[in-house]
Amino acid sequence: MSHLLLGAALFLILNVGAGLLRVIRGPTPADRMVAAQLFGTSGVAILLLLAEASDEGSLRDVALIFALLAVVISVAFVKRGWIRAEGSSDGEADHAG
Amino acid sequence: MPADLTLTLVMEVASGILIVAGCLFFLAGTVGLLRFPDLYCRLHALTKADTLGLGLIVAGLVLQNPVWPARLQLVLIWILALSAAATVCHLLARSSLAAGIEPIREPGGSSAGVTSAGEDR
Amino acid sequence: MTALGFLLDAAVVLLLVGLATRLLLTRHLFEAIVLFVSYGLTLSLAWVRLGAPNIALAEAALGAGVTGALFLNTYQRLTERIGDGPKSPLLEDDGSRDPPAWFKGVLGGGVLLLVLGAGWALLGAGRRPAFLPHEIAARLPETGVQNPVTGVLLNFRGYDTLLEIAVLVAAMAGVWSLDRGSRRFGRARGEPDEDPVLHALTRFAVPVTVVTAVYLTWVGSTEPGGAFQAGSLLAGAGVLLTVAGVLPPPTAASRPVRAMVAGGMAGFILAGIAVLPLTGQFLHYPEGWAYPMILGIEALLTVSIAVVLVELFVDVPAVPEPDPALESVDPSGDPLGRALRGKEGS
Repeated sequence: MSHLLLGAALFLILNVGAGLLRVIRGPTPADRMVAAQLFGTSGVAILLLLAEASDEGSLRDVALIFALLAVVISVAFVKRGWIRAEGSSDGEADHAG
Repeated sequence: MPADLTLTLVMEVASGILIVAGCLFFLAGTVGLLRFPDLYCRLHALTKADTLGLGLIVAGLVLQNPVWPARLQLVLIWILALSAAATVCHLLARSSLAAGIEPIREPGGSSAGVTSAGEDR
Repeated sequence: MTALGFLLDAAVVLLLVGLATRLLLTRHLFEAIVLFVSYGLTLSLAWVRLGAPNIALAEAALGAGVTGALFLNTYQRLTERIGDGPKSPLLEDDGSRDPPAWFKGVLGGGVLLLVLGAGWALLGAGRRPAFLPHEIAARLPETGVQNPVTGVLLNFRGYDTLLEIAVLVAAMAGVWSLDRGSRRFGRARGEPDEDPVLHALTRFAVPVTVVTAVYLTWVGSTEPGGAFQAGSLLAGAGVLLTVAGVLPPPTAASRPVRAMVAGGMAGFILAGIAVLPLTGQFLHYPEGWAYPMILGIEALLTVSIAVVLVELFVDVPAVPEPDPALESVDPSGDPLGRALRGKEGS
């Protein structure tokens, strides 16, 4: 059974590697970000498979961290990753220092 | 063959099928990410297919793992990834529209609709 | 089984090298950021394959997650002030800043020598260091915890960890001292983001993140986890909250924020001093007290690390306006240097 688990993990890593071409191609920042999203989800799957294959429960915690931080990165991108147009108020800050 | 052994065998086979099916959905998501013409199609392809793939893999692993807390943790991670993917997809699409990235309107159209505001540097 | 494991390792290594190479060669700033995050996640997988889930946790949380968010912040700041439109030299490849080939050759050769030398020193020099894991395992019961990494970090090598948190506090003090005139990201309280979906996501993800962080601190004494991993996760929750406008960004002027930043280091030092009359040595915990003391220090450290990281995210010193006089003298020069010179002038 662990053959299948490791094989699936290997497949997913190769899959991620192919998907990362989108990071290089772009063309918009959102396209690159979507590819990072792919890595987040696949990373969770890979870690869960490895956790089962190696019977190491703490890898499920690592998978949980992957899932949570994918959210943080994506939200940070939505709010910080765009170059703001002149006069746009999105994410605008108060000037109090 | 004793009944519980048969059950184990059935579970193993079902688990294997689920995991392989999950991998195929991941593959479909990546093909979409690389081949689809614009950002919105790619977002759609990736966030849906990958989440389903993850769900199938989690289902396969739940069948294999006899420990209940571990099973619960697996399912919770999937629910987290599911809701995160759905909302993040919406947020990304919304902010891209606001940034001036036009979706393609006609079949066969290129992603030339991207305005200069949307291009990164 | 082993062949499959080998292929898996090979795939991870190839991905790492490929990502690192592209990351160094690309001139696309945003692409580099996304590649950096991907590199961090791959590195985390590598640590998993090396049997070091502790470091995998830290790498995923700090290396990929929080650092990625900080880079995104920096990206926006760079592009909004220095970049005058799409033609900003910092963000566009004009080839003019390419160093000469001989320089690249010398640099590359030097790095190669350094790597080979380090490899030789570690593996080939014939000097085998004592196998630490055995010694640590033998004396682990004395540390009061069951996770060897936590035992080493907070008991055997307490000084080291104390200095690590001191570095973070010093960095925070440095950022605060540059704070004059900086713009703070985020919104004031009571002015939440207009997007209901972002709100729903925050309301859902933040509690899960906080619970996971508490769990990681707690479990750190027996299994992979600990203050740095939990702290950066908690910082992720803080980033979500401030970005969504639910919480006002923390300010240096607020006493609770200062107390939380200093709390980890102060608690660590006080605990070290408090044991002096009992054991006669700084940070030498008396028998039976090691576990509760480590847990308390870990909890304080978690909060400190989280607050420092959130502050670093929201509190970015302002990029000064480019000085038009300098600009006319130096039209093709690098904008970062120009901005820095402008800062001195003003």
